[in-house]
Amino acid sequence: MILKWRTLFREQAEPSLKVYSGGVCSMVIREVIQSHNIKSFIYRHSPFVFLCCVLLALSGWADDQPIPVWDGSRTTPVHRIMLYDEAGETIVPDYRDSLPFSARYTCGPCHDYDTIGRGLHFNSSRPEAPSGRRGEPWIWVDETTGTQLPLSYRSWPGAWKPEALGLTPWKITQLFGRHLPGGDMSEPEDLFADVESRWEVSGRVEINCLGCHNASSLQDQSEWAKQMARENYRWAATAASGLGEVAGMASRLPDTWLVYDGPNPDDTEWAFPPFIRYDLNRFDSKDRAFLDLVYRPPDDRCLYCHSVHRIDSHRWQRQEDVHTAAGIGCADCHRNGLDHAMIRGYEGEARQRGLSELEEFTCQGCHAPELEDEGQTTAASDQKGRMGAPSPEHKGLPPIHFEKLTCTACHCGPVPGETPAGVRTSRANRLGIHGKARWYTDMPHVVEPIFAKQDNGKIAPHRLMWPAFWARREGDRVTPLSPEEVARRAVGVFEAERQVGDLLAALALDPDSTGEPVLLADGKLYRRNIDGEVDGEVYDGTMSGSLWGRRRVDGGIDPLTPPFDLDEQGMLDYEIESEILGTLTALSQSEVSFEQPVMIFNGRLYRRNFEGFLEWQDWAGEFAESSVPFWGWLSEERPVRPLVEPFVWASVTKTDGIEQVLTEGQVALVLRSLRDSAGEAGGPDIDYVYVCGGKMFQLDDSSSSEDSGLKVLDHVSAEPSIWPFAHDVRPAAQSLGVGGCEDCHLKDSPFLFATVRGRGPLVTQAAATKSMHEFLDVDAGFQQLFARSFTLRPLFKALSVVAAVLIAGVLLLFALLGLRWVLQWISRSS
Amino acid sequence: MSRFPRLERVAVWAFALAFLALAGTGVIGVWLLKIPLEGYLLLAHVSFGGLFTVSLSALIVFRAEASRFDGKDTGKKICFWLMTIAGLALILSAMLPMFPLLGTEGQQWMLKIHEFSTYPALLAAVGYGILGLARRPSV
Repeated sequence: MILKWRTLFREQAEPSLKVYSGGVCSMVIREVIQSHNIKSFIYRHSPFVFLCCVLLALSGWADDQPIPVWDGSRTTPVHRIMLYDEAGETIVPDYRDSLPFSARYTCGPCHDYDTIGRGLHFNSSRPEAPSGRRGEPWIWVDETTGTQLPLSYRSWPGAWKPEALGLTPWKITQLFGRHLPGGDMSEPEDLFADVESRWEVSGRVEINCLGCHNASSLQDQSEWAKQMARENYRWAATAASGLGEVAGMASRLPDTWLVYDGPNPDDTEWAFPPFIRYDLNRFDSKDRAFLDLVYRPPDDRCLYCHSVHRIDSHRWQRQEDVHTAAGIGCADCHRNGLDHAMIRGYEGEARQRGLSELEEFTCQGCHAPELEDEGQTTAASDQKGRMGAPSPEHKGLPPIHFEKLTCTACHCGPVPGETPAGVRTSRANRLGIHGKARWYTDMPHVVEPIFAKQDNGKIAPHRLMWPAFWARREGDRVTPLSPEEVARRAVGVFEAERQVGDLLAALALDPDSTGEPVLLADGKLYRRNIDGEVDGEVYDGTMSGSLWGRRRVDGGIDPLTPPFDLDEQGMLDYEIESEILGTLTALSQSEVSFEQPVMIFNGRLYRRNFEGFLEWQDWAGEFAESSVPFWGWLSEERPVRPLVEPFVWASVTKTDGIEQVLTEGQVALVLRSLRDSAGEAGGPDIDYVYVCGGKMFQLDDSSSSEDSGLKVLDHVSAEPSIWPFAHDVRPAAQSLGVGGCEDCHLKDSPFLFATVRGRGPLVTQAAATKSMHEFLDVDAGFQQLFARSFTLRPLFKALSVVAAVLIAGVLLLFALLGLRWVLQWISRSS
Repeated sequence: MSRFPRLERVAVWAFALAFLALAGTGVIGVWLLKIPLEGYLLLAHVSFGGLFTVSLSALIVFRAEASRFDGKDTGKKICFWLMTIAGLALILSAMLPMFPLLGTEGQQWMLKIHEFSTYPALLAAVGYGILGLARRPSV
């Protein structure tokens, strides 16, 4: 206790009575809890208890130290400072039970934490925060159920509000903590607002100041993602900064655990709480840590959350943004003050925020102030050439283009092709998490560029994602269901590959068999992979049809049991009997089904009895006529059913090697399960649906065909979610229009008529197909006609030139004649 | 009348048609009805602009000599030459932006010249028409 008291009064950057009193009182409380004997504690530490009471009384009247303001120096102060934990207590790095540092109490005394907390990155959940131009939503992805649902607290079209789906701040933090900057919904005031939350255990996620402002190469956002996945929320920033190592997992701790409880001495293997070991080399003799901080975050910090990569290209093929290539960093344009109200840089932002100086930080502001919107205060009209920005002339480009298009339409993103290109983004596809925790996904499927009108009516390039989700439909109203709920109510329908993988794993348990268990189907060989699912490879052997078998070393395939004959006494050969018994024993250990495995061949059903011997009975039921041994389960519903249902078979064969994970058959089964579990009969007004690829799929009760039994509908909730983007900026020589008007004004130009197909987790031919002109909201007929007029343009120009020369010639001739008359008149007069 | 009376008559009617169409789309549509000149309206305006260019240059060739100032029909001749000058300005201000010669500022100047050239062109065309009709001997 005395040691801690001493350390509290060591030299501090900003001594504060409140900090002292808070620190003393937190020490007292912790000691009380750990001692479990209040009377004894008070007797032994009475002076400290008295001091605590005095300090508490005085701190109410104590003035806070004034927060320093910038004095004008352009240097960054060296941050060799004391670290404080969430109780305001000084961190002693060599203390065994040190807590992680708190940004609120470490950075806050100099940089007002609450002001920063209202900034762009930390205010999405505040109702009063302006939404501004729409941006990339969070996308709730669940590959098992085929869900990719756009979410945002901001009022952006195409995104669902988390609270409307029952998503609490705790759940949001669990889902997206890997790329959250801290604060916002992850730092709730009320820790108990949500009964399922565990903020007391994990701690709040404070604003991760070092996540942006730490210039040290030790800053590891992958570590942040890892700690967030473990629910070590209060430890994540410290671990990511490299100030210390954090071990333990808050997610394994009981709900009642408190950070001052310390470790459980009875469990040192599984549920041991997070702890930190500070790197003592980062601290000086006074326990001050050196933080290599910068005013402007390096680009790497921004790119952790804002990277975008084209799927079909390699890293070395990437063309840098021209601004980056010119040495301009992200924060050179996307600036902010202490309020962290970051400049986003889009047209109209200055008007929305009522700050005319923001015009300086748009494309026009640096490159062409004369092109600013009419009515704007041209505060930047004398700011042309900012940061050395070239001033474009746009020779030959009619000014109408500046009214209809943003600068980004011609200068940003990939050159438009026949179809938009697939991309991955950091936040959607979980990029930037390296090492063993590597976690990126193919879902959701995001494409670009999509040229569409923004809210201000100007055409800009967008990224697009088709939502996919399960929902309950009541009339026109659609309410998405959470993936957990869908998986719970549709057991056995998802994870078809895992079912096959489990069977192959079970077959491998047969000790008397040789060869790797495989499934041969539709010309492909399926083998179990390390994830427990199956990977398919092309099979070019001699076996045909579909069967379960074993792969020999030479690559050949043997069925589990080849067709066999009985001997003269009607008995099985001993080796055949052992083979059948071994396979049945292995199958009985599978988790795919708890029913009894059987084999049917030549009118007999074989199964393993309770004593472990093979017994058989005559069988005239289903599969009795099978020409090859049939393996299945003895079922109560049907006498015998195959090892895997037909929909599993179809799912594995149809989705192998592609990004889709669901078949229409699975969708129909799930929708039926959702209906049955809700006890609802379904109907035109109330039913369950699956939205995917721009369409809505609903059970078709009138369907009598052998197809999926689904009907395909259009619905507004199936419309794609789009958001504008502005990077990477291409060089001027690669802008649209550099090759002439026909870059865009062509009858089949990608800019106007590229095909945008619905994509999603479902294998279907019924996905929506749109033409780019639909997003542009332009008349396709007119654009085609206008494009065709460009074929006559050279003739038009030639005629105009000839006519102009002719008319000018006539005018010149008669002007000269007129001049001659004047000269004659003058000479006659004289 | 010129040496090619039929051709001249065709040029007159073509010019009249083009002028009316251009006036309808460019002047009445934009000035009076406040309809932006875009879409099919713009396409029509540009198409008739080609007809205007050809028919005007033909008319000037046919009637320039007859429009020399000699004390007769001075008003009509003034309208003719005013139409010629304004017409040239209209053609140049529409044609030059199609070439990669002028930057944004130049393009905007051309638009303004095109707009303001319509006033004298309108006056001249109307004046020429009225004076031409008034001079016709009554039957």
